[in-house]
Amino acid sequence: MKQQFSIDYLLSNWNKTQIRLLGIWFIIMLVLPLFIDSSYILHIFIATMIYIFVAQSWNILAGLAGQLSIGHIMYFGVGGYITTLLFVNFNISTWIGLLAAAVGGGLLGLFVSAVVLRYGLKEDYYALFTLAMSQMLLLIFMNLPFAGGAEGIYVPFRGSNFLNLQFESKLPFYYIILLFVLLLSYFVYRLMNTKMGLYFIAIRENEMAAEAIGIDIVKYKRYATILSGALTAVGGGLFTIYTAYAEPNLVFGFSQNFEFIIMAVVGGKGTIFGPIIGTMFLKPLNEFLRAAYGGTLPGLAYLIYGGVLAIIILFLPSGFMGLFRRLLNKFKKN
Amino acid sequence: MDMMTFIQATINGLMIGGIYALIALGLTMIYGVLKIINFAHGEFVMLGMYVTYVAVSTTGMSPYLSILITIVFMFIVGALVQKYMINRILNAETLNQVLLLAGLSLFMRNLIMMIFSPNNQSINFGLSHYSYLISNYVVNAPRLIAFSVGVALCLFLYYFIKNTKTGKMIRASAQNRMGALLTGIDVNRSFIIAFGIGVTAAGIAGSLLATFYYISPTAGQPFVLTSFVIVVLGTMGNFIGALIGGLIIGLTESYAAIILSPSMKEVVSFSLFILILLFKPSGIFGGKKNETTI
Repeated sequence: MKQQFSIDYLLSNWNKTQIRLLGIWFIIMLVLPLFIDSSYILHIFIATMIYIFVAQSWNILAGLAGQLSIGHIMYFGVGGYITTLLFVNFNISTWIGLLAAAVGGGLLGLFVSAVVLRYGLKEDYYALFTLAMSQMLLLIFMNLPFAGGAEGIYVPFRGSNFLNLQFESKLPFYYIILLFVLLLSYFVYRLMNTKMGLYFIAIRENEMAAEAIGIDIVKYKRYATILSGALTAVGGGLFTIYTAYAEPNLVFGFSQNFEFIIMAVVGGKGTIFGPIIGTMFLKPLNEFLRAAYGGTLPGLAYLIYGGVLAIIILFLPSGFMGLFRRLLNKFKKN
Repeated sequence: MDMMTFIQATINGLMIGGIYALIALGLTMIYGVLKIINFAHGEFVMLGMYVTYVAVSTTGMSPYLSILITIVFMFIVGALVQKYMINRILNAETLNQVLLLAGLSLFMRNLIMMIFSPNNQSINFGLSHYSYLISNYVVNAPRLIAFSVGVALCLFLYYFIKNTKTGKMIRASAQNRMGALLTGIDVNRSFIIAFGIGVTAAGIAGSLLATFYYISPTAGQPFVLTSFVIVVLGTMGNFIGALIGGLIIGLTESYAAIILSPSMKEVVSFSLFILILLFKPSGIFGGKKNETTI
C-alpha cells in the first residue's frame, strides 16, 4: 500500500496518478457548493466545467491523436445550435437535443475527416481548413433566418425540469455538469488503454511509423475526429442551454475558439488531468478579471490569456502537467 | 448588373485588392522563409493603423508621412518578436507554433484595447473625403493612393528579395538552412530581417488602411483569414502570387457584394478558399509539387 504512493510508482503509472488527481478534484468539487452561498461563484464554476468538457473533447483529437484541429469550435457551435433549435422550436427535451448534437457533431467530424483525408490535407493545410470551416459556419448561421441570424436565439425558461435541464437554482446543473466532466475524463483514461487510444497516440507520435506497423491511419484519424466532434457538440449544447442564448459570434467566434484550446494546452495537452487543471486555473481568473476590471480596463482578461499562453508555449511546452512531472522527477533524484 | 455597376465594382475590388496584396505579401514572406503561419498578422495590420492614428492625431502630420514611423516601429517590433519568441519555436511542433502566435495576437489586440479603448476611431485629413470622378466612375483618393503604394511596395519587395544581397541571403536561409550556414550566412539575422519585413508590410498596409477605414483593436481580424485565402491561392511563399491573389480576392469580394449581398462576400471567398485547399493546395503558381520555398 505504501509503495503505491511512492514517487516512483506515481511516475511510472502516470495515467493512474492522473486518475487519482481526478478523484481528488471530484471530491473537492462535490463538497464545494456546501461552502459557497453565492450563485455568482457557482456560475463561474459551472462555466469552468463546461469549458473543461470542451477542452477535454478537443484533447482527444489534438492531444491524443495529434491532429491540428485549430477551428474546433465548429463542432461546438453546431452542437449548440442543434440543441437550442430543437428545444426552442419543437420543445424537445434537452437530453434528446444533446444526443442529436452528438450525432450532428459526429457527422460534421465524419465530413471533415472524409474531405481532409480524401485530399490529403496535413499540418498547416489541415489547420487552415478547420479554421476556414468554422468561419464558414459562422457566416452561414449568421445568414440563416430560422436560426435567428446575427441576433441569435434566446432559450425560453420552461420551468424547473430535469428533462429540459433547466432549473430555478444553479445547484442541480452544477452537479450534472460535474458528472459529465468526470465521466468524460474517466472515458479518456480508459480510451488511453484501449487499442484505439494507443493507435491514436501512435499516429500522433509518428504517423509514418504507425502506418508502417499496419495501423489503418485513415480509419483511426476518422474515428478520432468523429468522437471528438460529437463530444464537443455535446459541450456546445450544454453551453447554450445553460447560458440560454445561442449567437453566431459567440458559439463560432475566434476568441472563444482559442480559449478552449489555450486551456487544454496550458494544462498539458495529451494528458487526462491537463484540461481540468488548465481550465480551473484560467477560467475563474478570467471571470474574476472581467468582473473586477471589465469596466475600467477592458481587454485585461484576454491580455493575460494571451500572455500566459505565450509564456507556457515558450517555457513549458507540455503545460502544468509537464511541470508537475518534472517536479516529481526532481524530488525522486534528491 | 449593368456595365457601369460592373466597372465600378471592378475599380473598388482592385483598390482593396492592392491592400490585400500588401498584407498577404508579408504573410507569404514569413511563411516562405520561416514555414510559420503568422496568426498574429491581422494584429500587426492593426498596430500599423494605431501608429498612424497616434502620429496624425498628436502631431497633425500627413498620414502618408507617418508611414515612415510605421516602417521603423514595425520593423523593430517584428525583429524583437522573431528574436525572442519565434526563434525559440522554429523546430517545435506546428500546434505550438500556431498557438504562440495566436497568444501573441490576443495579447496585442487586448493591449491596444486597454490603451486606446475598444471604440472605433478614424483620422481626418485633407484627402479623407476627396474622390476623383473619371468619366462617371468614382475613385476615392485615399483608396487610390493606398492601392498604388501597395502594388508598388509588392513589386519593390519582389525586386529586393530576388536581386539584392540581403534578399539572396534570406532566400538561401529559407531554402537550405544548413547550406546557408555553411556558406557563412548569418541565418538568424536573415530570419530576423525576413520576419521584420513581413510584419512591416502588414504595418504599412495598416497605415494605408487607416486613411479610409475605421481604426479599432479588432480591425485587423477580418484581414487574417482573407490573407490566408490569398497566400494559399497565390501559392504560399510566392510574391507575385500574393499580388495577383490579392487582386483576385479583392475583385471576387467586390463582385460577390453586388451580385449576392455585402454580407455574403466573405462566404464566397471562404468557399473559394476551401475549394483551393481541396483541389489545388499548392495554389496557382504551385506546379505539381507542394513547393513553398521562396
